[in-house]
Amino acid sequence: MSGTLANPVSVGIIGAGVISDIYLSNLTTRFDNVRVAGIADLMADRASERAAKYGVAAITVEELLADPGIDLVVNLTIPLAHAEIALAAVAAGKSVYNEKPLTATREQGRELLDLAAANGVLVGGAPDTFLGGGLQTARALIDDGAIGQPIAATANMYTHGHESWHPDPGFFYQPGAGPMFDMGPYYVTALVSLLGPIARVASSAGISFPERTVATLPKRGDVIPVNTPTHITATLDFESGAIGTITTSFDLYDTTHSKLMIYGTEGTLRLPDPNTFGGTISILQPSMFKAQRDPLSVGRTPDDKADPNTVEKPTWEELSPVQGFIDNSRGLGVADLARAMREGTLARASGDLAYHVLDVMHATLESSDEGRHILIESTVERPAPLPNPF
Amino acid sequence: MASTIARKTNVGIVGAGNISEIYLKNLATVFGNVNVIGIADLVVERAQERAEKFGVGAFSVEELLAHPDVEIVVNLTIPAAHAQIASEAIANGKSAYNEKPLAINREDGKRLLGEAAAKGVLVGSAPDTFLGGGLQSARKYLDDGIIGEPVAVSAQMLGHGMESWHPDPYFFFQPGAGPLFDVGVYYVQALASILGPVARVSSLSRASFSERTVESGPKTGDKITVNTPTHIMSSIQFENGVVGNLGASFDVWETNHSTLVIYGSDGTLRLPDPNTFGGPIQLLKAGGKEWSELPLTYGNTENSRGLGVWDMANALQTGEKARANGELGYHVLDIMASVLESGENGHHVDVKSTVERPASLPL
Repeated sequence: MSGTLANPVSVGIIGAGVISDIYLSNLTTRFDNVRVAGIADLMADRASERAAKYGVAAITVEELLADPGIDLVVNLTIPLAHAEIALAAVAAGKSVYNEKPLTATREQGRELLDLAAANGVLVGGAPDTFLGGGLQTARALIDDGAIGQPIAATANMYTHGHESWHPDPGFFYQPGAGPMFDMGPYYVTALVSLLGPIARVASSAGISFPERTVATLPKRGDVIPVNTPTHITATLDFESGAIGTITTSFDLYDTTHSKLMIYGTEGTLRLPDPNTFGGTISILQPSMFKAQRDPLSVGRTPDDKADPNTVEKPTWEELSPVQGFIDNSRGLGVADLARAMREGTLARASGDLAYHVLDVMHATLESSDEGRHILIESTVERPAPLPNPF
Repeated sequence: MASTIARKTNVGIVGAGNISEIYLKNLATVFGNVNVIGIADLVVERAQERAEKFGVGAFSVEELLAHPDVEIVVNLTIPAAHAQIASEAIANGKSAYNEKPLAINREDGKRLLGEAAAKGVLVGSAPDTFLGGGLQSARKYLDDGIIGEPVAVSAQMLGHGMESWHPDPYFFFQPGAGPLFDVGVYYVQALASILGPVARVSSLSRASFSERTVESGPKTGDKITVNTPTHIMSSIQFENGVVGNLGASFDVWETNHSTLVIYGSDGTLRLPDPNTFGGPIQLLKAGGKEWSELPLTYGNTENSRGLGVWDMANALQTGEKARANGELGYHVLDIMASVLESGENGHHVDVKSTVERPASLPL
């Protein structure tokens, strides 16, 4: 972002956990339309430590919420506290940007958006990785028709959970977390930002392992009861007519799956990990097949033909991101929200987008529980592409 | 295949299309426990051509179905004719082995099982690729616990349809075909034979392209109206608790279109293309970074179509249960019909039928 603004938005950060480091680093150095006034945490020592490192004030949560000079609260608390802190901020007349997910429940999310509208302030929510160079380049390719009309998408987040390395992994396995609420926001937000809103969801979900065992000190050997599905696979109907699948799992060993694919009438895009800002994009187009048109390359093996595994397949073309933010740019969504506050533009990582994503994630659990397709009541406009340069 | 069985089971083939070539080759020259009496087709010349090549008799369909020596009718007609031909064979006291699918709807499939039971004959259906060296080896590794308890599966058949190379691709885009019934059936049968029955499915589906254009052969340029979903994405739950997804599409551009992966508590196994009889099988151990290829421990790794007929003939001789049996064929049909139904109706479908996993082949 170029130029110095006369009137930057004054930001207060609540929550001085691990993630606050990158937010502080970026918000104090990379975006000149925001100025970090201070940071607060229930544990005063943690706030003081971060404050000292980045030369901002350490204050209490109450002081921060009561400070009339702070226009925007960046809410980096644990997911279960998102609603309470955000509602307090909005009630105090401040705009708020929540880490993902927007809130724990749909009701909290709705209440937050309604109160913000009534008070004339804005709500935003992470993730903002979809504003990074990787996914913005994909967006430009799709909008330019590089793969024709998008008709399908697959999103896969596979890990074997966090107990092998995380010192206190219990919360990953409780309602409100699990692989969908923990990692799903990156994938669902990316899909909605690229393909538009989701209209209907059908899913199956299960708990493959009823217990997990902590593998690292100091809690090594502690047994964690698993109280939320850890393997969730869902099909998604987009309003556009495209059909997607999403699988989020803490139950699987894998190394090779594609994380995010968009299939179109005229080609396919393989996208980077949506939990990153950069990454490589690969494209496959029908012309790459035409050169070696062969029955074996189109999904069927006629009898008495060669082993399909030995047939040469077209090579995907690799494309580099053309947009600017390809390193860890967390806080980009905050800067964009600040611009919206000053200039009246629509924020991209908006509360409406974060609410729609929350609505969809809940539906992926409900559908399996209730044995029916879930119609998604919320909808949202695709956020506009990020200007380049920002 | 060496045989110690004194008497061979007499087989008659109905349908002399493309696929009959490999069946004739295997049944007439590879498998020792069957004797091919002859072949029939509505187009007499086609039957005669095949008959000459393999030195078997050429018959009309009526003659073959009534032939007193025929014990198994191998039914290689188009899917829409599977039920009727099999039903006539059964009525004549013969066992019937259908190309896939068993039938194009549940009613026909169920009727065939009832008729066969009443007559005391067997009914079975392709695919029999799950009896090939690749999938039998994979099954053995899984049963031996190489990846612990199976917890999840992903089965994806993704491609862009047949009109680019097939001279007459009309039927692929009609009810009874489409990517699930035509190709997905290999994946579903492989999974049911390895992981056991499916209890519930949910899906979304569509025909992304309402029309296809023939791109090769004399019909180049002809338009085909698409009358069945060609992009089908589903979630499936097995009776044993495994949760998986199954995708079948003629609508997308993809290069790694055939993937069948089973995830377990202690590792992950990548299975061969279930439309083939061979490998490779690849293993990732829990926490590992590298996949390793596992040796195949079973034979029949070439195109061994007809293995299911060989197995049915053994079953007739020994009284043991056939592996590519009608109950399995019906359960697979039931799963596929349920997937389409869920996509149409917007609710999860409980799969009403169930099946025992067929026994492994002896090593």
